[in-house]
Amino acid sequence: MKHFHIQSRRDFLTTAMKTGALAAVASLTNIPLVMKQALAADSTLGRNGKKLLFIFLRGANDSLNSVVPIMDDGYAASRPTLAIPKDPGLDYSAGGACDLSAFNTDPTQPTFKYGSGIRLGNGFAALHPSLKFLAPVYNAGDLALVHRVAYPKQSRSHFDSQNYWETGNPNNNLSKDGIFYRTIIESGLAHTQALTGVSIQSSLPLSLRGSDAAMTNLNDPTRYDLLGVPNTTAGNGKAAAALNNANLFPFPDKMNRELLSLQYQNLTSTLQIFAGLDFSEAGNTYQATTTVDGESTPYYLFPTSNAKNGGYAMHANDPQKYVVPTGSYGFFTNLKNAALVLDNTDAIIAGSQLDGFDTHQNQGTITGSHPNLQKQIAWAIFALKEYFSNPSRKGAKKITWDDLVVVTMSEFGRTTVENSDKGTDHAEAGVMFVAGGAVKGYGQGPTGVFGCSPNDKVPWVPGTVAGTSSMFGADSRYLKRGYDYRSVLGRIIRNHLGASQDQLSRIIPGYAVSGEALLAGGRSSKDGVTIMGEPDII
Amino acid sequence: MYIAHHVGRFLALTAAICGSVFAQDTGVSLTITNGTAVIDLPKIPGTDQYKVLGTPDLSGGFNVLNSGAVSGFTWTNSVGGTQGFFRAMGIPMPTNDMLAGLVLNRLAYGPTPDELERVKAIGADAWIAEQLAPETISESLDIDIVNTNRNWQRVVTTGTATSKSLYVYLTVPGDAYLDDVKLVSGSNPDTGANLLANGDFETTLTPSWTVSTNLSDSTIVSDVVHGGAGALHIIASSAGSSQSSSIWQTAANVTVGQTYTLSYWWKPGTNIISNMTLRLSGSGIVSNPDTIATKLAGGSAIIDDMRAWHVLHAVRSKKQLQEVLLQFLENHFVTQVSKSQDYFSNIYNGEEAMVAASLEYREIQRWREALQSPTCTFEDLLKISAESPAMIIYLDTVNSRGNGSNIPNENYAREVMELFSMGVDNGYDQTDITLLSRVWTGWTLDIVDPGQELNPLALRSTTLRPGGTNVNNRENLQGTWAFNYKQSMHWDQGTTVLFPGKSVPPRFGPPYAGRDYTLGIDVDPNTSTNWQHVVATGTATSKTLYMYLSAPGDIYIDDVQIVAGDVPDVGANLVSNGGFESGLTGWTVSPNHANTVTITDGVHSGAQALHLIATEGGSSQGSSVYHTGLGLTTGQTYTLSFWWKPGDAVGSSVTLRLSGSGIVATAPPRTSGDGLAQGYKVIHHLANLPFTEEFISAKLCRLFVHDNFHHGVYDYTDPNLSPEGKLVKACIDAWENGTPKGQIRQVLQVIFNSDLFRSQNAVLHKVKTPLEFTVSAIRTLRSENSDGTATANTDGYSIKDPINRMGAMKLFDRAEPNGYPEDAAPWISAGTLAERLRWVQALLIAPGGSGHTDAGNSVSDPVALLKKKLPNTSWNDAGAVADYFLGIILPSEGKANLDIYRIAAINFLNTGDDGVTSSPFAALTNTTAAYDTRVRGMVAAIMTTQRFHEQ
Repeated sequence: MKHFHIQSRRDFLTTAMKTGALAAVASLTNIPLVMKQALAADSTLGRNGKKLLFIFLRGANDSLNSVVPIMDDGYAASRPTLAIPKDPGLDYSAGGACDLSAFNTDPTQPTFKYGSGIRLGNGFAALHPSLKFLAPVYNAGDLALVHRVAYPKQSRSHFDSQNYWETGNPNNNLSKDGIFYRTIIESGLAHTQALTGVSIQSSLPLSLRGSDAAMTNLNDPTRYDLLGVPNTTAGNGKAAAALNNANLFPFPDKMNRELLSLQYQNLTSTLQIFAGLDFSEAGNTYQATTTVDGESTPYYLFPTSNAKNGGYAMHANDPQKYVVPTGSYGFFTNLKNAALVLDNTDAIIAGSQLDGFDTHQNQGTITGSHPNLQKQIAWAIFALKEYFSNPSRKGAKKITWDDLVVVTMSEFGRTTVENSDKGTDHAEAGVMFVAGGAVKGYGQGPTGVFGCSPNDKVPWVPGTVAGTSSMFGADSRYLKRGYDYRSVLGRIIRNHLGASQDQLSRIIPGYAVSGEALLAGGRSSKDGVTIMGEPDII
Repeated sequence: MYIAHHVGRFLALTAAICGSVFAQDTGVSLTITNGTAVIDLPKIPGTDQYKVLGTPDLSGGFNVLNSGAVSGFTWTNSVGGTQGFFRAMGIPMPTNDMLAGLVLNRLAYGPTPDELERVKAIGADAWIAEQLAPETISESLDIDIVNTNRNWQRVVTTGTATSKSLYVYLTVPGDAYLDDVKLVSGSNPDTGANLLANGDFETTLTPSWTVSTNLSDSTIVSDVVHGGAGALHIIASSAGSSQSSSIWQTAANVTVGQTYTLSYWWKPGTNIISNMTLRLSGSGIVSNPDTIATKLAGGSAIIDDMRAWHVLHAVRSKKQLQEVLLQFLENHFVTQVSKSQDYFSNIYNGEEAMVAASLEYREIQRWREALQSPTCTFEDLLKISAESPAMIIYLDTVNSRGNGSNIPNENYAREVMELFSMGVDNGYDQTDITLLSRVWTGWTLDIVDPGQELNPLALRSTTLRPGGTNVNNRENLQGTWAFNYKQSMHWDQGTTVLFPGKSVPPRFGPPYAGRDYTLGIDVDPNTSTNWQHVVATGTATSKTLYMYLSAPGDIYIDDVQIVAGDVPDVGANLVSNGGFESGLTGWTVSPNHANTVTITDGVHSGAQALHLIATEGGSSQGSSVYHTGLGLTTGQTYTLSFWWKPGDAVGSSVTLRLSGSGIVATAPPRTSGDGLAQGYKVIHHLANLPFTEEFISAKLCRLFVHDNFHHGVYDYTDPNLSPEGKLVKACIDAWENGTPKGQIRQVLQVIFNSDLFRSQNAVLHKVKTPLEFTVSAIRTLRSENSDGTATANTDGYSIKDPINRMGAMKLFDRAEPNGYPEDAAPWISAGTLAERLRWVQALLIAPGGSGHTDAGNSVSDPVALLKKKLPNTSWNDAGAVADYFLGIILPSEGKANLDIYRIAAINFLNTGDDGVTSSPFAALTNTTAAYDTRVRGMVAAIMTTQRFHEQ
């Protein structure tokens, strides 16, 4: 008789396999979290009707050409080709609302013809002209531009750094679950409702991954159903029954079987939810309620075809009237679908990503690849504000613009000095765009710009002095951190989504370490950099 | 030792396996209801059979209980009320069978039914040995055969009409012959009226055909015909793609949406590749007579051809491990064809897609060739990647400059360490990146003559291609885009020292720890671009002077003098026209120096100097520029002198010597201090750093073993090092101890011999990527027939869209330089699973059936397979059919663990299409559509379970 020869490899099992016994241990450790959540009187996480939409800007956005430190003489000096010029007719040291010179009064003019920095009115910073559609959101007080965002011991690897942003755990490569996954686990809803965290892109991002509950990714919701052999109503039913039956089969443990099991259950439990929503292109009829650029007719909110792209169709198919590049229709299809999910289902967090920010060469100054990406950011935020602010939009209208925060993330900023290819390389601090009806932007505080002024708590130091000037403050070459990205996300997760401080310390473990100074700021115990703590954005 | 707990009043139960230890972790439970005992059996991987043993008294031995029954993971038995002890036991599947499934899942793109039988027969180790030596596997796939047939050949294509208009065009300027073009209704090319007018070209081309301007040289010819008296000689002066660049006609009697068959005869023109396309507007029927291999070899394939070819190798090649490794290399040294295409769009108008695809083809062919060598090293593979034009474009070295005030682009410098060799956070820092970025400046591209693809110092091709008029326009040149080094773009501003003062950290242990891996890249002091003087005195051995470069390259020469005595340049110059004032008069130029010219700008003296250019190194009269009949007297003393300055290429030395070597003068080669030598030095250094050995070994372990291998964390000195860490260490040692270091096969052997890879517990930990999932699905059902057909097949092209939908896997076109993930989590989510399941269902739906569209030209015929493999007495035996397909689809699971699947499969076979009505499988006539549908549905049901994603 043959017998098994199974080695006892405790550490193998611990790291690699979930035996029945270990699975039980794992779930036990999670129970207290849920219980603590229930006991936390100050937590409304998942129950306060507030939601989050994230957009990850993959490849590292060149933040110095997004929110431009235009009054820093070191900026133009460092970027002979790439610097955004000042408008000679404007005084950028003046205060006030965001300048609207980038908008046309004559609707026949090209959408993007302004070639100067858009004065933000904080006396120091300007927006890249490709971001002009942020101006109305800014002036409504619904936009916070948070500059100099990074984390201690910044990694300049795309993949490390994206992981750190998505796990909320910088410099910890063993952290395998995502910041938004943990947020949803803390809400206690992960096991009680089918849909909690959703991404609409090619695959589930790390920010929504975790081992104990399945978040949902859809690449194309219009294809989200199954077939049968034969592909008839009866045949499909027979196949679905077989699949549901097999999903319940017990199995010997293997490394990825829990993952497969969770996601199969997620698939079968969400098919019906998504089948009830109209994700079709024909259903994409959402339009703005306000007009821009002197137009008399509002634009479509989600440009998914030329005809729905700005004033193209209104002006005899004029490509100069596009609001976004034609290559961005896939992104806006995803964005629209993410908005539909948040507006029509119980999902709390949804998001997508925008690729292509790794602009090592020929990134473009006023026009080009980087400006083309920025047009998408600005229009996306403008469109989401218009969509969620419209009380007569189609659908269940589960939330309003006041209930939503839109946040962008990007792994790092890019080099202050441009390279020989008229591009920029990997660097340190970047910028976050935070928008929503509840955001405390322009008019609700000193300004809607955070972290890009010599008047900041940690001042922006102009110039090109290595090690001293802000743009040369990290490694004598890169924009130095003024905010920790965790302080921005943490403030949103607590003040907006309703997490208690205790929950937040579990979602973002750095909050539990006083030396990290994430809440109130101070000198980081990790690398000695003085940071400003949470920005007062919400 | 094994009494775990008491359950119930009368029975004490434990589950254990004789002599094994897993039972201590394995929860089992016993319930007794109405005198029936039910035991939930432990679920043990790879179990063929579960048994329950019992004893009434622990002092006695356990006996296998023959009463009771196992179904799935449950044992039931009636109990008599007496106390007893039980334990469960699993009989493992035969190791040989387990290993056969394992190696075909990991070292291949999944088992085929035939290969599974073969590996079980010869044993997994014999198969591994065979796969590790692909050069010993004889194979001649039709997809690799370049069509060199110059005769008339027939092509037939059936499809659905999308338009009434048929276009004929060439996608590249050139010519071909075409005759007897027929478009008929239905699927038979020989039945029905030809719906095209003058498809046999027996009358004048117009008015039946409309000829676009770029094809206006096309004529009806009578000397080269297939049938009748006329054929079309199609001649394109520029590339075609649509109606306005084609020869076309509208077939009035075609009905859109109906099936038609296009057939024609063609014959190559000047080149064996035709680049011809015949298609209906809307591409319902498309035909290109060139085979994939012909297109790839001819440089006119686009990336979809390359993808199809790659997929077809994965499906069909016997050299499966090689295919797995090639995909690994392609993905590890990732490049992006669309970025190459974008680069070439600045040079070409229409051909950029082909040029870009050709880079991917040449890259993978170089790796394929390298893997044929038993001693192939990682350095070989890294070098191929560094030299690949696709990489040079992808990570931006192509335009990176380090001269003057320019700051080099850091992209390749970072990723070559982070992603291609050492691994992130593993032995380098930003300073090293910045320093290394200087090294790669000058590593760029140019279009060079055939045969010069691997010579980075080759000069730009000066051969005009047909129709080309201007050698200054690269689009007009004939040649190959290749890695080319340009000194003028190189950072040349000082000594570079990489990894200054760094040493291997203690965690690596001996002999690695403490090694200083500083790499000094010396800058040759002789970096002057000025004219320099070389002098040599000696005894004349002949009257003939040779001048040659030792390697391909170029250099400037002026004022060659030979004077009597030992003082240079004093006395009469015995070399006539030594200053090249009369061009090359007096000098004879050998073929390898045929590009040599005289110049007038920047000369040393006078009006002209020589620009000595070599396409191959020289050594003697026949490979030099030489001067005979010098006025020398053999045996007397003379002094030779000349002036030289560096050309664009560096790295070769110029030699001027008398035949017989009585006097030899050499301008010293700039062997270092230039970016070419620096780059190769860096590659050599990076390739065998302990960090690289660790990172690549861990990555190979993730490919072949499971997802949880890491780099940068293991402490190899730790006595409690994990088995994963120990395996990585064993790989590092094998890498380090080889001569040469870093032999891929030696590292793989360590992995394949490891317990982590081979043990009963090691199977099925990995999840398939979309490519692995789709290819393995086809292979699972694919048995090749002697007539070339198979029970499952794909055209290769039909895989592109499905794997894109299963998580944006675009072969040869990954945007991010980290390549596609090897671990499971990024691939598995509800949306991507829906696409996987839909595709499997589409694959199993018969071609033409509703829902098959997603699978395109990927098809399966499971009934043909079962009738081939099972005796006809079993064709209607639901159990036998279920067993057969479970055995080939999930070969590593163990029969006992598949019992629940077997029950479900049999139930499926015995149920009507509505999923409710009983419809015994035994009663279906096995030649009917109902039988076919039933089997297809059952196979789809098995292949859409969670288990088929695993490997």
